[in-house]
Amino acid sequence: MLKELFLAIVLGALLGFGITGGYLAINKKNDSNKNIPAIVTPASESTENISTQENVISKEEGFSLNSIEDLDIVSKENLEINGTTTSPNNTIITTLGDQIINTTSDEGGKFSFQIKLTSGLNDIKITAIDSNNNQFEKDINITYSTATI
Amino acid sequence: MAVEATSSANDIQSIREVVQQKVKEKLNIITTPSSKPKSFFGSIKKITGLQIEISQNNENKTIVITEETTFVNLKKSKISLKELKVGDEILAMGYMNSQNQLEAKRIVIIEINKIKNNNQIINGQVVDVSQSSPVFIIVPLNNKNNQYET
Repeated sequence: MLKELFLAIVLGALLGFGITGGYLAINKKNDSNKNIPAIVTPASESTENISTQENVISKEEGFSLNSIEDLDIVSKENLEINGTTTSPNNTIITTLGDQIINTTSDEGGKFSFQIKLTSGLNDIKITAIDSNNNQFEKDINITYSTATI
Repeated sequence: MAVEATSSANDIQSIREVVQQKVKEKLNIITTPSSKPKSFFGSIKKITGLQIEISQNNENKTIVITEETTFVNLKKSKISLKELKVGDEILAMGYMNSQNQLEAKRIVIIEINKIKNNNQIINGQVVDVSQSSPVFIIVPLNNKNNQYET
């Protein structure tokens, strides 16, 4: 009787340890598969002209335009653009077609310049660069039309 | 005590009136269509009756055609709505209505790729100048992982 009891305990223990050990071994194998590092591709140094999107910290901050809004329609060829930068003495560069206009904002952040529009839609890009070399950009589309709207 | 209660009630009433007036003014601004002319531009996605749906910078916009709407093609000749088709690129001029749609007075067919401003401004340091050709390389001050050849 005692002999059978002892045998049952030993066999039970062996079975239990065996199952537990097997479970742990399987888990360890799965974990080691997960530890394979992902292949990381370093950022390539491209010499091609790439969009400056990654250089722009914020398109919405940095400066505001006071006198004009995107998608406005104007009836005069020479458009005056007024704005305010969030910090003083920013360099403001504006491009439209072949036109490149440089100006700076004053101590109060205010700037103003004139740009010549062509008939129809004009895609104007305004960039402000502050004293810390942070760059902010706005794209505004202005329609110049003398037609009665 | 009764007098204090009355004056307090009067204050509340006057504040309520001021708030109501402000809310009314704001609602008026929101619901009244703008009197400033605006433009939409983009590629026609769909023409349904008197509405044209366009894709403007990956955003859908709706243009409403009225009796007053005139249409002009690339050669500056007058055309009709029937001559517009899906894929045409147009510039519509008009006024916004309360549903954020443009009620067009004038629609002109355009070529957006000829208007698009592809100029780029790069604020950086020249790191290399070619001796044999008019080429130099700039590294932007804010992103030294990139470089530009110009």
